[in-house]
Amino acid sequence: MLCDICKKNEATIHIKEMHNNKWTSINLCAECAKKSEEFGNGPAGMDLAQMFLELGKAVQAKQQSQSAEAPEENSSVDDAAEPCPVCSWKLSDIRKNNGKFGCPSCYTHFRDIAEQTFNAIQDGDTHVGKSSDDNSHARRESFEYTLSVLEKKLAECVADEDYETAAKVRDSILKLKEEFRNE
Amino acid sequence: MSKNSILQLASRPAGFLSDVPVPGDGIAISSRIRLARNLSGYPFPCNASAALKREVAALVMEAAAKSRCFPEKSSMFFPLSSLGANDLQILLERRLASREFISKPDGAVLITTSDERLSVMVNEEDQLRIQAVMPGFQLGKLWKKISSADDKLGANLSYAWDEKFGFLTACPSNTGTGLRASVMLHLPALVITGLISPTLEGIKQLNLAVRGLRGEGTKNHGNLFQISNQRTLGVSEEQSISELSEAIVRIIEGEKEARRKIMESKRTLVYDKAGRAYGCLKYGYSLPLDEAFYLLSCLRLGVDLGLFNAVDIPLINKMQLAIQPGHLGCMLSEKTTPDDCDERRAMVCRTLLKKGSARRAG
Repeated sequence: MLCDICKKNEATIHIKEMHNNKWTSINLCAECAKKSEEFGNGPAGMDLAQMFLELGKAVQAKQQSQSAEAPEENSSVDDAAEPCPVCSWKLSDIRKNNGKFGCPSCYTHFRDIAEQTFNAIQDGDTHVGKSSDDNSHARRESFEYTLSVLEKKLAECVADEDYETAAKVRDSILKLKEEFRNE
Repeated sequence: MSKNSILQLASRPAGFLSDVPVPGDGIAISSRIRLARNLSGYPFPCNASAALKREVAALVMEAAAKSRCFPEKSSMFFPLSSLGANDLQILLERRLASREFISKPDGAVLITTSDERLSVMVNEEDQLRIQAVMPGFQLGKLWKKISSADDKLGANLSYAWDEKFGFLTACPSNTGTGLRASVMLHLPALVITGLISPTLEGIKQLNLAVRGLRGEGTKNHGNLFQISNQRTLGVSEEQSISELSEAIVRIIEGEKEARRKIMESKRTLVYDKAGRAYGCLKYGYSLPLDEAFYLLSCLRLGVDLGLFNAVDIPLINKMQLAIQPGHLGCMLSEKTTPDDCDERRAMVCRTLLKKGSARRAG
C-alpha cells in the first residue's frame, strides 16, 4: 500500500481515528509520518490530509457523474479538479502539504472545499472578529509619521543647500499625499 | 533597525521569562499571542520561490520600519540564512522562532524588539507571524498590544483577506482571526497527585490544545504545559482569549488546590524533591537536559512554596534558558559531544546558583 501523502513510498504506519462518530484511516510512510510529527501537524495535519483525500474523491465522483467518459486510468483523483488559476496549486498539492493552500486565491478557487474543511475543523465557515480595514486610524498615524520624517529630511536638505535631494524628497511627499488621498 | 549578532540576545533575559520577582503564585510562567497574516497577491511560503520570499520580506521590513512598532534604536532583525545552527537553536529556545521557521531559512527573516516582547517571523508557514509575549498570565494586555501592532503593520501592507473567511492563511486551521493565544503553566502538583491526566483530558474537551515547553510538536519538559486555543474561524479574538482565560484560571485553581493537598499529606516528599534538586543543581558535574528541566521544576516548586531564600524565580528563569543546548553553545563545534554538553550544563548551574547565593547573602 502506498503512502497517502507522498504516494511514492510504501506505507508502514497505519492510523485509525474516530471523527464525528466515524472511523477514518490514513496510511503513511515513515518519512511523511516523521515530517508530520516534526512540524506538529500530528493529528490535525493528518486529519487535513485525509480530508483532502476524501474531498478529492468527491470531486472525481461529481465529475464522473457529469461526464459520460471514464477518467484515464492513471489520472490522480486529486487532479480531477482544475488547478488554482493564480498559483497553479492542485488539490494533490494541498494534500501533499498537509492541507495547506498555495495562495490566497486558492480559497476562492477551491471555495467549496475550503467551506467543507472549515465546517469540519472550525466553528463554522464565517469569520467573526477583527476586519482587515479596522486599521484606518493606524493608516492615518502611519501617513502622518512618514510625512513628518520626510518633511524633516526636506528641511535638512534645504538647510544643507542640497537642492537635488530636496527635489526628490519633495516628490516623495507629493506621492505620499496623493496615495493617502486615493485610499 | 539594525542587523545584530545573536550573542547580544543570548546574554540577556528572554522576553517571555521574568527577570524581576513577580507577585502571585508563580504558576503561570508566560503568555503569548500570535497572529498569522499574509499579503494579497503573493503565494504562501509553502508555494513561493526564494526570490518571492525575499520580496515579501523586504515589504514586511519596510512596513515594520514605518509602523513605529520596531523603533530603529530598540529593534533588531535577523535574516535566518545568515545564521549558524547554534544561533538558530538560540532563537528557538528564546521562543522567537519555531521549528518550522528555522528549518527553512531561505528568505526567512526575524524582526524583534530588543526586549523580545514583540516580534515577527517573516516567511514561516505564513508570511507574517506577529508574536507578542509577556511573563505571567497577561492575555488581556497582550491582545491590546498585538492588535495595535497588527493595525500598524496592516496600515502599510495589503493583507490577504476574504469577506467571509477573514484573514487568509496557508493552513485552514488558522484562517479567520489567525490568532493563537497560549499560556505556559508550571503544574508540578497536578503531576505529583496524578490529577494531570484528567485535567489535560478536560482541556482537550474544551477545544483547547496542550503542548510542551517549546511549542508545537514537542513533549513536555519539567512539568511545563502550554495551553492554547485551537479554533480561529467562527469565534472572535476576544471570545477565544476569554474562553482560554477561563480555562487557565480553573487550571491554576486546580494546581493551587493540589499544592495545598501535597503540603498537607506529602510535605516531606515535596521538601525532599526540592532539596535534592537544589543539591544536584548546585553540586552536580554532569546534567542531561531532561534531568535539568525536572530539577528546575522541583526547585521552582520549592521557591513558590517558600522553602528557599537563597534562590528566587528570576534566577530559575535564567537557568531555564541557560541550560538549553543553544545557550550552552553545544552546536558551535561538531566536536562537542553530548557528554560535553551535560558537563557544561552542570557547570552553568553551579555557577549561577553560587552567584545567586552570594548575591542574596550580600
